Amino acid sequence: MSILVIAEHDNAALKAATLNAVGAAAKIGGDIHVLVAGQGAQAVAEAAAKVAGVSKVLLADDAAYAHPLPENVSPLVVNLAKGYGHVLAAASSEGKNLLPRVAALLDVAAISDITGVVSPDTFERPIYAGNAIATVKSADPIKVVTVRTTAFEAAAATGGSATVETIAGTGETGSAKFVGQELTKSERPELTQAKIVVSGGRGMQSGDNFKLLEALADTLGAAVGASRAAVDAGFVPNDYQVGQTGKIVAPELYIAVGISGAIQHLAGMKDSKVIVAINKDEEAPIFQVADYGLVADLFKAVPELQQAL
Amino acid sequence: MKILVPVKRVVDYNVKIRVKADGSGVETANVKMSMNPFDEIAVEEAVRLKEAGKATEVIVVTVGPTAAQETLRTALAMGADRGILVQTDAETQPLAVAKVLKALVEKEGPTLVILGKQAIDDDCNQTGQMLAALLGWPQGTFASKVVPGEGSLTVTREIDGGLETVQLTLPAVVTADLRLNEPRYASLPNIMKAKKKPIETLAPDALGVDVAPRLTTLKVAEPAKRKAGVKVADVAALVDKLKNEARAI
Amino acid sequence: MSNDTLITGRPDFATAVLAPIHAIVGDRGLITDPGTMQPFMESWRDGWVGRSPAVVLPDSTEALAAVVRICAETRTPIVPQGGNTGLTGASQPHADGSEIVISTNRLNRIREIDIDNDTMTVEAGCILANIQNAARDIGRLFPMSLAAEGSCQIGGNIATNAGGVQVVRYGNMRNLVAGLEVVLPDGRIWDGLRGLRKDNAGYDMKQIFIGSEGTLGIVTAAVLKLSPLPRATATALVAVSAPSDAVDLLTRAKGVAGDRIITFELIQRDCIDVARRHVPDVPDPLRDRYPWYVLVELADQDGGNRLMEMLEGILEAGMEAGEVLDGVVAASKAQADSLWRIREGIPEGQKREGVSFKHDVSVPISRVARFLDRANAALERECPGIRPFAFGHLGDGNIHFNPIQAEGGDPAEWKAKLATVNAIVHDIVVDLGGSISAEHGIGRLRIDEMPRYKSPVELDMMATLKRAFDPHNIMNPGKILRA
Repeated sequence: MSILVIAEHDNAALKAATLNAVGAAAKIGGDIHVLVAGQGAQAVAEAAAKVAGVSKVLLADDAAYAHPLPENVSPLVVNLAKGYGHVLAAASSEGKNLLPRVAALLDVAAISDITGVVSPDTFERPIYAGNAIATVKSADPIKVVTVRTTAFEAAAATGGSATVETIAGTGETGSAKFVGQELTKSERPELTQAKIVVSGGRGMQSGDNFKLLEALADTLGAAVGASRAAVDAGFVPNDYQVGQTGKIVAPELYIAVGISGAIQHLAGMKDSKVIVAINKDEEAPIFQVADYGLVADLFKAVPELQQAL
Repeated sequence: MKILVPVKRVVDYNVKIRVKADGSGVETANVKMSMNPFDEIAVEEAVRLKEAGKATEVIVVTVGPTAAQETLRTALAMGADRGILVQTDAETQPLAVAKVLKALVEKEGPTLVILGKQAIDDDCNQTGQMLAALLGWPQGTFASKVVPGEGSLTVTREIDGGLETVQLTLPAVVTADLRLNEPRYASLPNIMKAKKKPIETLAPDALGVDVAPRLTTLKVAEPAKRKAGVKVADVAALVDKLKNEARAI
Repeated sequence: MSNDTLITGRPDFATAVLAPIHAIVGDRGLITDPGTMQPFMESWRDGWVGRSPAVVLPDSTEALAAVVRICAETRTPIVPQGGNTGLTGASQPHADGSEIVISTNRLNRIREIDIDNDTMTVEAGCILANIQNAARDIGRLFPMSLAAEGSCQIGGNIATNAGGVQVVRYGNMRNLVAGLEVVLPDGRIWDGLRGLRKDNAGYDMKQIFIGSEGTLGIVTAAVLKLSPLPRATATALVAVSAPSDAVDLLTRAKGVAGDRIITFELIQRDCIDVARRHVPDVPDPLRDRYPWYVLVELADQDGGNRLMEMLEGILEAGMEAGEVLDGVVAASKAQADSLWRIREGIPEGQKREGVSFKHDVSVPISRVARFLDRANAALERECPGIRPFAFGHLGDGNIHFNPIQAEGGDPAEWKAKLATVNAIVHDIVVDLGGSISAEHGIGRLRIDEMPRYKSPVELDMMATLKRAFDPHNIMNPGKILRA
C-alpha cells in the first residue's frame, strides 16, 4: 500500500517538517505520495517532487486552500485517503489540527506524535509527557498518523524526481474563515517562551559581564536568565531569575554559565531538553544534570562559543 | 447559548508516574487524580462566558469510571451548572469519546463545545477535532483567545511560530490551550453549593455508541534514560555535539 | 582564648596551620582565593559578612577530624559551615579574619538506607532536598521541610535543630535523628551512628549536639528516621478575621483530623501582598481581601478521596461556626503547589521590601493571638507607622513576627530602632511564657539578649557544657554564648 504525506508549506516553500514526515514514511515502507494543498503553490509541489523517496506529488491548487483550514482540507484528504494504507503529517500545530479530523471522517483511530515505527501497523508514541512510551497497534484499514519530527531523520530535499499531478479541490465549507496571522518577531524572546535560554550565575561576577551572555543570546535567538545568586548579587533584575522562586523554564536548549546548580535553580530548568553547563569548578553540581559540560573560564569560553556559531 | 464542556479525570499533573513492571500500562491505583489541566481551562472559559452573559448554561460531561464524578464536582464548584457522567470502565480512546460527545450534543443542543486541547495522560490531542468532524462543525483548536460575535466566534490559535486568528460560524468546537485563561480555585462556598448540583449518569449503550478501543496497546515502557552527561574538551567540541548529536542549534 | 593567639596575629599561620591542612585535604579541599571564598563568607539574607584566610573542604570524616586536630593543636578557631542558609549569623566567620571555615560541602554521600529500620545514614553535607528525594524513591518520607531545602545541608539542620513547615505533625530535627557521628573540638571522632528508637544507656549525647550551632563539635553524619510516604494530601487556603479564629479552627481540625494535619500556617494579608510584589506567580486566589489567612494541609496513607472530604467537612463546619470567612481548596497538586508559593514567597518578598525587624518567637498556641495583639499595640505606641507583618507555624505556636519600617521612612533611622523593637517584642514573648528563638537559633543575632531572657542557672549550665567540650573555645566562638 502507498503512503500519503500531507505537505506543510506557506504556498511558497516546503517546510522542513515535511521532510521528517517523509522520513517516517520511508521507515514504514511503500510508495510515498505527497499532497500539496494550497493556492499558487506550484513551487511547493516542485520542491516536494525533488524530495528523495517521493514518487508522486498531488497538487490541489485552490483558493479554499490558501490557508490550511482543516474544515476545507479534510474533505480533500478523506477523498484521497481511501486509496492509501497510511496518511501521515508532521505533528506540528497544523498536522495536529488536521489529521484527527480526517481520521474521524474515515471512522478510524488517529495515532498521534509517533516516535518510532515498529511495523506498518505498530508504532511507538510518548504518553504522559514523554515519561512513558506506548507501543500501539492499529486494526484500522487506514492508519492516520502524525509524526514527531525530531524523532525521524529528514529525507533529503533533493535527489527525487516525482511526477506532479494536479487534482481538483473539494471546495469551501464556509464554516471557518482565516482572519489573520501574527508570527513571533525575532526580538529576544520571553524567558518562559524561549526555545533557547542562556543563564548566568554568580560566576558572571558583575552585571556588566551579562553583556557577554546577551550577545550570545542574540546570536542564538535566546532569552537571558539568571540564577538567584546572580539576582541577589544585583547583577540583573529580579525577573531574570530562573528557579523555584523564579520562573520555571523548559526550553529546547538551556545554557548555564557560571551557575553552580543549587537545587532551587535546577527546579526551574531541569525539564529543559538539552542542558549545557559552562563552569570553571569541575565539581559544580550543575554538571550532574548537564548533557554537555565544559570546564572552562566562562570569560574565554562564552565569546569563543559565540564566534563559533 | 448552552456550552458543553467535556472533561477528563487523569493522573495529577504533578505526580511522577510509574510504569508498571509488566509493561501493561502506568500505575494509577492509589495515585492522586485530578481534572486534566487543559479541561480546567475549558471549564473556566465556559464559566467566564456565562458570567459575561454570553452563555446561559454550562454543562460538564465526562466519559469514564464512577470516580470521575469527583472531576465533575470540581467543575461544578468552579461554576458549571450540571454534570453528565457517561459511565464506563473501558479504556476510552478519542474516537469513541468523540462519538459519545456527538450523541450528547444531539441530545443537549449546545451551540458551543469547549474542551482541553489534549489530555495529559494519553497526550492524543484528537478529541476536539474528531468531535468537530463528526458534527460537521468548524473547529478552533489550541485557542488562546475566544471572542463570541453574532452567530460566530473569533478564535485566536496558538500555532508553531506565532498566532493565527480564525472566524468560526456557530455552532463550533473550541479546544483550550494553556494561555486561554488562568482557571480559578474552587471556593468553599461554591464547593458547598456544587454538592447540590445535579449529576446525571448514562451508559454509552443508552447513547447508542460502541466505545470499544480501535488501538491496542501492546506495551508501555520507560523512556530511554537521559543519557549521562559528558564533559567536552573545548568550545569546538561543544558546538559539534550541539549541532550533530543533540541537534539543538 | 584571647584574641592575640588568633590567626591574623599569627606570623607562622601558613606553615603551622595551612600547610599541614593542605597536606590532608589537597588542592581540592582548600580555598584561599578571596573571590572563590566569597560565598562562604556571607549570608544570603540579613547582611552577615565575614573574613577568613581559608575555607577547608574535607571529603571524609577522618580528614575533617585530622583538620580539627591541627586546629586544636594550634588553637585555630573554626567556623563549621553547611549550606550557609542560616538566619542568625552562626555559620559565617567574624569580620576580623581570625577563623578558618570548615565546610561540609564534600561530605555528601548517603551511606546507607535501611528500609526495615526506616532509617537512612547520611553525611552532613547532603542537601536536604536530596535526602527527601532519596527517601521518596524508596516510598518513604523524610519530613524535614523548609524554604531553604534546596541548598541547606542536613548537618546544618541538625546543628540548628531546624523546624520548618511540618513540625506540627513530625516534630523538629531533634525528633528526626536516631544517631550521630561528631568530630569533637579536640579532633576525636564520636561514632554514635546507632539507628535505635530506644537507647537509655546513659546520657543521650546526640541531643547535646542537636541545636548546639556548631559550638560543641562538628556533626559529620547522622542516622535519620523516615516516615511512611503519605499517599494523599489535601490543601486549602482559608480566610479568617483574626488569629484567635485561626486558633479555634486549628483546635477544630485537630479534633477531626488529628495527626493528619501536617501544616497549619498563619499568614497576615500584608505578607501575601509583599510576596506577590516581589516573587513571580504568587497567586491571590480568594476573590476578596481578608486580614488573615491559614494555609492548611492534611496528609494520609489512604490515597482515596476521603481526605479531601474530611478537609472540606472541617472547613464547612468552621464556616458555619464563623471561624472561616472564605477559602479555596486545591483541586490538583498544581493548585496545591501554587498555594504553597504564597507561603514560600513571603521570606523572599520580605527580603526585598525594606528594613524589617525579624523575630522568630514561640508562645503556647493558646497565647498566639494575645501575643500578636500586645506586640503590635506596643510597637505602634513606641514606633508609630511601623507596619505589622506576621506569619508562621501556628500549629507549633511559632510566629515569624517581622514588622516592617513605616512606608517611605528613612531606612537608617529605622535601623537604629532595632534594639528597642527587639526588647519590646521579646519582653512580651517571655512574659507570655514564650521563647525568643523558636527555630532559627541564637547564633550572633540574639547572643546579647541571652542574659536578659535566660536565667543565671540556665546560662551557667550552658557555659559549663561549652567548657567541658571545648576548653580552648575554638569551636564556632562567639556564637550562642560569649566566652
